[in-house]
Amino acid sequence: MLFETDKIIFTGPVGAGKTTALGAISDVAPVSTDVAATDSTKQMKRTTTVGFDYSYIKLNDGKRVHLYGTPGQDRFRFMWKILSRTGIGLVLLVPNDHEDPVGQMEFYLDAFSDFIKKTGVVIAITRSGINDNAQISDYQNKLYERQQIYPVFEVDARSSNDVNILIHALLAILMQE
Amino acid sequence: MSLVNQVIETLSGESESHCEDISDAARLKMNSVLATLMEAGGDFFGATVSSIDGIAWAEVLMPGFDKHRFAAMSSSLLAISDELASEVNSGATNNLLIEAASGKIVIMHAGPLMLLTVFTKKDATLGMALAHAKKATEALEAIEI
Repeated sequence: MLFETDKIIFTGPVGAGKTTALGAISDVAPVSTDVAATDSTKQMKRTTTVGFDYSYIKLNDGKRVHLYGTPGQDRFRFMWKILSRTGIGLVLLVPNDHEDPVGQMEFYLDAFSDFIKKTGVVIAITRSGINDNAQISDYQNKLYERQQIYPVFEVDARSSNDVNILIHALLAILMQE
Repeated sequence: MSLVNQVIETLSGESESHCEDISDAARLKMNSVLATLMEAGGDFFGATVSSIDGIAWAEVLMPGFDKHRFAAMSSSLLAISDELASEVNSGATNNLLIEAASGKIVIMHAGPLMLLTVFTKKDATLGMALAHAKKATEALEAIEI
C-alpha cells in the first residue's frame, strides 16, 4: 500500500547518474543542490550534489511518489542517514566504468544495509558500453556469494523509460513484502 | 592537481576527505583570517573554512571536533538554503543562521568556491557575530586558491 508521503532513495557513487535519473523521470523540474566540485570528482564532472536531489512522479492511480537522490561521496554519509530515515526503498546506481564497480555495489549495499533490511533495493548498472569493467553476471555472482537476491538492471540514467522500469520494479518488490 | 596532492591521494587511498586541493600559502592565509576572526570579540568558539562541496580547508576548533564532518554538513545546508531561496526568487543566501539551545551557528558564502562556518557561545550578540563573520568572508574571498 502506497502513501502520499512515500519516498524512494537514489544512491550510488559519484558520477553514477543519480541527478540525471531524477531529472529524466521528473514531472517537475527537480530540486538540485549541485555545486562546483573541488575534490577528485572534478576530473569526472564539473558539479556535484552536496545536499540532495528531489522530485516526484505520479503513478497511474494518481498517487505521488517522492524521489530523493543522495550525494555520492562518503563524507556526506550523514545525508544518507537523514534521507533514508523515512524512505520505502532504495535504487542503487552503479557506474560500470568505475574502476571497481562490483566493489562499489558492495560498499553501498553495506552502507545502506539497515535500510535495505527494512525496505528493499533494486540495482541499476549505468554507463555501460563506455569502459566496461564488469558484466551483469559479475554483479549477480557477487550478490549470490553474499546470499542476497536483488534484481540487477542495465539502464541508461538519461532514459525516463529505463528509470521508470526501476521504480516500478522496486514498487513491485515492496508490494510483495 | 599538484603532484604532492596526487601522491597524498594515492597514499591515503581515501581521496575524498583528504584531498585538500589548495596551496599551503592559501591555507596559511585562511588560518590567519580565522585567527583574526576569533579575536574579534564576536564570542566565537570555533570556525571552519570549507570548499563549496564540503572539503575542510582551514579551521579553528577545539580538540575532538571533526572538521571534515562540519565541512560536509555546512556545504549541504548552504546548498539547500540557496535552493530554497531561489525557489522563491530571493537570490543567494547571505547567511544561514542556526540558533541552537546553547549557541549559534552561522554559515556564509565566501566567494564562489568557499564557505565560512562560525560557532558562537550561547550569549553571543547576533549582530556582532554576523558583522565579524561577514568581514571574514570578504578577507577569504580575496585569497587566491
